[in-house]
Amino acid sequence: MNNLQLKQLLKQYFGYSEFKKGQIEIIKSLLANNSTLGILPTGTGKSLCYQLTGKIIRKPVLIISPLLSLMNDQVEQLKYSGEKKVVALTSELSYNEKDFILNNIASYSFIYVSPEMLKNDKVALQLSKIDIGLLVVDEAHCISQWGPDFRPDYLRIKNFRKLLHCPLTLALTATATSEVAHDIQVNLFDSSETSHVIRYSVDRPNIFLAVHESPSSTEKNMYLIELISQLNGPGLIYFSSKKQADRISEMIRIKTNLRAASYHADLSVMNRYTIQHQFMENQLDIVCATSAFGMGINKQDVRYVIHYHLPSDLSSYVQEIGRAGRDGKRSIAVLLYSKTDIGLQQQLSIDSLPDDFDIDNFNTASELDDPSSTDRVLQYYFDQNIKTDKIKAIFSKRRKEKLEKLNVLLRYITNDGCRRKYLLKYFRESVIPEHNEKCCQLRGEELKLNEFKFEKKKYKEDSLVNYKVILESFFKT
Amino acid sequence: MNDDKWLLFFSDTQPRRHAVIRQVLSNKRTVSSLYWGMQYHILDWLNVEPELDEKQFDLQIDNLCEKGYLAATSKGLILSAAGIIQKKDYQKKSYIITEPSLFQHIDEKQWLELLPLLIQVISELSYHNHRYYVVGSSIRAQLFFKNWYQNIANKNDLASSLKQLLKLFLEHLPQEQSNIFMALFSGHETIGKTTEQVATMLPKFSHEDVVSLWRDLSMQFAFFLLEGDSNFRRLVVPLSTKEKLSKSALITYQLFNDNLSIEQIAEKRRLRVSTIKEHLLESAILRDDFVYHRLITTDDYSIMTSTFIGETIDWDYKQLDDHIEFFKFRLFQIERSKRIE
Ligand SMILES: [Zn+2]
Repeated sequence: MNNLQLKQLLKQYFGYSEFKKGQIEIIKSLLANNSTLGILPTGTGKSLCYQLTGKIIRKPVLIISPLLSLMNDQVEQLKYSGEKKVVALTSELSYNEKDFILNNIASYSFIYVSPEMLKNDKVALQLSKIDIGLLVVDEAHCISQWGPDFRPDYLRIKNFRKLLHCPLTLALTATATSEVAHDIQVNLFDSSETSHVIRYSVDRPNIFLAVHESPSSTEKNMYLIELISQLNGPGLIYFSSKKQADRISEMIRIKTNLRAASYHADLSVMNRYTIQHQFMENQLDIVCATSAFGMGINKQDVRYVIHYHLPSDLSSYVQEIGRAGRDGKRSIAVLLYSKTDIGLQQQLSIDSLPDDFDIDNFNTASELDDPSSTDRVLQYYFDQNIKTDKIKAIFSKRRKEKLEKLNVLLRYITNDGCRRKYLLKYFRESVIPEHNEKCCQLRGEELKLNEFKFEKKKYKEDSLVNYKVILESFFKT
Repeated sequence: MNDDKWLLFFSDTQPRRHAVIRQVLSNKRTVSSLYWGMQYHILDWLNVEPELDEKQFDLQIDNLCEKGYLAATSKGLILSAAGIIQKKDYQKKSYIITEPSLFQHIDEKQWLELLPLLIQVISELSYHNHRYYVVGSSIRAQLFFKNWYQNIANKNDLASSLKQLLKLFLEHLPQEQSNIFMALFSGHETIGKTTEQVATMLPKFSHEDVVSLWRDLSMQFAFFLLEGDSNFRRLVVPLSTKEKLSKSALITYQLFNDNLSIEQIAEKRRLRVSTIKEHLLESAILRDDFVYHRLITTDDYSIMTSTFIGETIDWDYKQLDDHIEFFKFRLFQIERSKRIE
C-alpha cells in the first residue's frame, strides 16, 4: 500500500488529512508483517498507528495497556470515530461483566486489556481462541526489569504472546534509552524473531523552551499571574500536588479574567469529563493538572505548558511539554523553578522508594491491590527468590539513579548553553539544530513574549440558565 | 469542607455522640452504633457519608472544639452555647440533604454515574446524533446502562418521557435548585458545569452545598422514577433495595420469624448465640414488625415495667439486679423507645 492510499484511508476513517511524523513508517512496517518497536514522543499520535492498521487488516487488535484512565480515553476516542466494537477488560469490571465480555470476545475489533488481567486463566483462554491480527504493547518500557517503571505483570506478555502463536506485534513507548529498547526486545520476542525499531526525535522545534528562577513562592505566584495574563492560550500548568493545583487555579480565577480549573485524581469522573471537554471546546483557558494524572485528551492547539513544580525527570518533562503545539504552531514551555522545589521532588520520587528497613520487614503475604506499587515490585523480587541483599542493592542503585536524574534535570535549568541542545544530547540524538532566537531562552536572558502574546478577550459573565431552557435544548421532541 | 456540618448531629445534653455519629454516617454497623443512632434519632443518616475517613473526621471534630463550638465534658462532647448558635446559622445558610434515608436504599455510587449517562444518551438520541464523547463514567456503569437500553422496545418515546419526568420532578423544587441541578449535566452540544464552577457563580452556595444538592436531588429523582412506571424505573430497580438489615442479620431474622429459637438458629447457621442475639437486636432496631413477646415473657414485662420510669435513654440496667439478662433489657428498651416515637 502506498502513501497516497494510506492517506485516503486516514481521511476516511479518522478525518485527518496528514500523518504525523513516524506514523506512516510504523503502519507500513506493520503492513509488511514486521513486528515493530516504535519509540515516539508523546503527542505524535501513537494510538493512531494501531487503530488504522487494525481497520486495514480487518482482524481484531489486542492492546495491553497499564493505565486505566488512558485506556478509557482511547476507548472513547475510538467510539467517537465510529468504531463501536471496542471494549476494555479491566479489574474495574465485576465478575459477571467480565464473563459477558469474554463470552462475546470474538465480536470486538479492538480489545484493551490491563496487564494484570493476563493472570486470569479464562481471559488467556478466550483470547487465545480468536485470530488476533495485531498485538500492541503500550508503555512497553514497563517491561524493563531493572527500570524505574517496571511492572512485573509485563513479564507475562512473552508467554502469553506464544499462547497466541506469536501474532504481529507493535511495542510502543515514548522514551527509551538503547538499553531499555534492548530489554523490551529480549523480554517480548524470541531470539529467532527479528523486529524493526523505529525511533523518532524527541525534539519539538515549534516549542520554545524557557525557565524562570524564583527567589520565593510569592514571587513565583506573581510571575505566574504576569505570565499567563500575557500568554496566548489555551494553556496547561503542571503541579506535583493536588492541593497546589486547586489553590493556584483559584488564585488565577480571582486575579485574572481567565477561565481556569484544576484537574486531578480527586475529581469525580463526571467533573473530570466536564473539565476535559470544556478545555477541548475552548470553554476553559487554563487547566491546572497534576503530572501524575495526565489528561488523555488529544487537544491540538495547546499554546503553552508551564511547570509550577519540578517534573520528576527530563523524560517526563519532554513528555509533558509535548502536550503543547501538537498542531505544529509556535508554542512555549516555561519551567518555573525555586530552590525549595528540589526538596519536594526529592520527597516524591526518592523518599518513596523502600529502604533497607522496609525491605527487611516486607510482608510477602499481604494482599496488594495497586499493580503499579513498589510493594508489587518487591513482591515480585521475593517471588523470584532474589536474596534480600540483592534487592537492597537494586533499590539503592535505583535511588542513585533517581538522584542522578534529578541532577540532570537541575542542570537543564542551570546550564548556560542552549537548552534544546542539552536536552537532545541527553537523549543521545545525532542531529542537534543550531541555537537561534526562536529556539530557547538562555540562562540570564530576559524572556521575550512578543510572539506568544495574545489580544485581550472579554468574556461575558457566566450565569445559570433556567432549567426549562436546558430541558428544551437537551431533548428535541 | 465545612466542619460545621457535623454540629447538626451533636446535642447540648447528650455527650456520647461523637463515635456514634461517625459510625452511623459511614454505615459501620454494630448493635451499639445502631442502638445509640436510634436513641439520638440520626439513623436516617445511615450511609450518607460512606467514604468518611475516621482520622479526617476526628481532626474536624478537634477543630470544632478549638473554635469553642463543642465543649468537652467528662463523658464526652456536647454543643456549647456558641455551638448552638453556629448550628442554627449553618442550618439557615447551608444546603442540607432533605432525604437522607434514600442513601440506605439506592446504590448512590452507581446511580450518580448512570444518571448523567442517561441524560446525555437520551439527549443525543433525540437529535439522532451518534458521534459524541460519552460522559465520564466507569465501563461498569456503561455496560449496565447498555443492558438496560438494549431491552427497551420503543426508543422513540424515551426523550419526551424523560423530559416530562424531569419537568414534573423539578417543578416542585425552588427554581434556583432546579437550575443548579440541570446545569451539572451534559447533553447535546452542551457541556455541563462542574460543581465548583456552579458554586463560584452563586454567592449563596458553597461548593459543598452544590455537591449536597446534587447528591440529594439525584437520589430523590431515582426514588421518583422508582415510584412511577416509566421505562426508567427498570434502570433504578436493580440499584435499589427496601431491606434495611444486613444480609446475615436478615437470614437470622427470617429464621426467627419461622419460629426457630435463638439456639436453633445458632446451630443451623453455625454461629455463636451472641452473634444471633446481635442480629435480633439489629432487626428490632431497624424493622417495625419485630415480635418482642417471643423473647420477653409476661413476667419480664411486669418486672421491667414496674422498675423503669422516665426516658428510656436514662434507664440503668443495674436496677434489675441481674434478674433479667441484658439482651432482654435492651430489647425492651428498643420497644419502648419506638413506641414513644
Ligand atoms: Zn537554544
